[in-house]
Amino acid sequence: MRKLLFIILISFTIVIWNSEVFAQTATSSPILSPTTTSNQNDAIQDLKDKVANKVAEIRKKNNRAVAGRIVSISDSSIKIKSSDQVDFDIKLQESGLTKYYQITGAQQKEIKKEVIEKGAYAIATGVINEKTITANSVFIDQQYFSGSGKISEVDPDNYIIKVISADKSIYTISIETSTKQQLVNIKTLETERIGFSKIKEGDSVHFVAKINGTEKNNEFSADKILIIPQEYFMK
Amino acid sequence: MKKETIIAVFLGISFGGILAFFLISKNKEFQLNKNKVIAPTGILTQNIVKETVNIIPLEVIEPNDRSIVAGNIIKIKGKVTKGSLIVVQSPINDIVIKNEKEDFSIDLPLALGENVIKLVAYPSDKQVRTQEKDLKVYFLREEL
Repeated sequence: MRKLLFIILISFTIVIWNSEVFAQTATSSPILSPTTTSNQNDAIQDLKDKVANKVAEIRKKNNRAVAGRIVSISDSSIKIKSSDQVDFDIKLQESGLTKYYQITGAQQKEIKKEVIEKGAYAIATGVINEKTITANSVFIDQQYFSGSGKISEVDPDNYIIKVISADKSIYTISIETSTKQQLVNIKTLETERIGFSKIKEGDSVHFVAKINGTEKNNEFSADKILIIPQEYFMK
Repeated sequence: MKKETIIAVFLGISFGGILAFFLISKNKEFQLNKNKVIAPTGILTQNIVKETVNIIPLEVIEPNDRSIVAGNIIKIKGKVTKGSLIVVQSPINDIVIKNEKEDFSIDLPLALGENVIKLVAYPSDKQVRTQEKDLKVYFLREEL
């Protein structure tokens, strides 16, 4: 009995609902006043904006970046190897949807795909699916390496220091005339410029080096170094 | 010897003994109050135990590794043991701070493109290892 009543109620609701919809369609379309059209257009535009914003939001949310050195370039893809030796396949979108840029210092300019060369450092943004990224943009940039450790050897003749990192890797760092050399003042913790003679074995060092892909045996030419004197840890 | 004499001697010795015992115990108490205690107090020991227990591994709460940002400055938020020396190094900036609280927040300017950021925390306790975190943050201007 209850079931029967429930079915009748549902059927009645559906009939009422449908009749309302039919009534709306019948009255609205033939006679449209200019105000109604304008309101409808506004509503449509509003809806369009909302959808566009939502799409942009979702794209932004799913937008990720991968970076690595270019191994090969084809018409539809660019293969890169990341700094942790992972291979990624950058899928290029047709009809010019993928944009290409060159970053130089604080400047970014759009370039053609043909200008991109094997061996360059590329950053691709887009939606990642395992090891494949469907690229929205590809940026050609300068690669940097950042490391730290304890100075185990100072060679004042060749301006070279050897550094042992926390994971026991040994780095050979060449200090150039252009290398920015800084030391942390152990009292104020401010950084101050120093010369090579201030660097001692046992000090902790943080360094940043430009990478061009040809480096071997952990030998780098430092862009800048920051020394924390061992005296800080003796306090 | 008379009985009275024996009683008098006995009472004298007993009284003298009681008096001596009283004086010795009082003197000892006085000496203890006067001297400084070298051994650590209960509160101090508790504090030391507390400090040893509060070792927090370096944790970066934000930003996420490999995140893309549209602004040229980011806030690095994280946690590490109180009193650690934190060094943040990127290709364009070096920041050295000592965190007074466990939580830290550092504003770091970014270069256009890839920013390789290294965070190193040197704990004040020499027994605790130096901790490191590497982050890659991309400051990119792109049309989506």
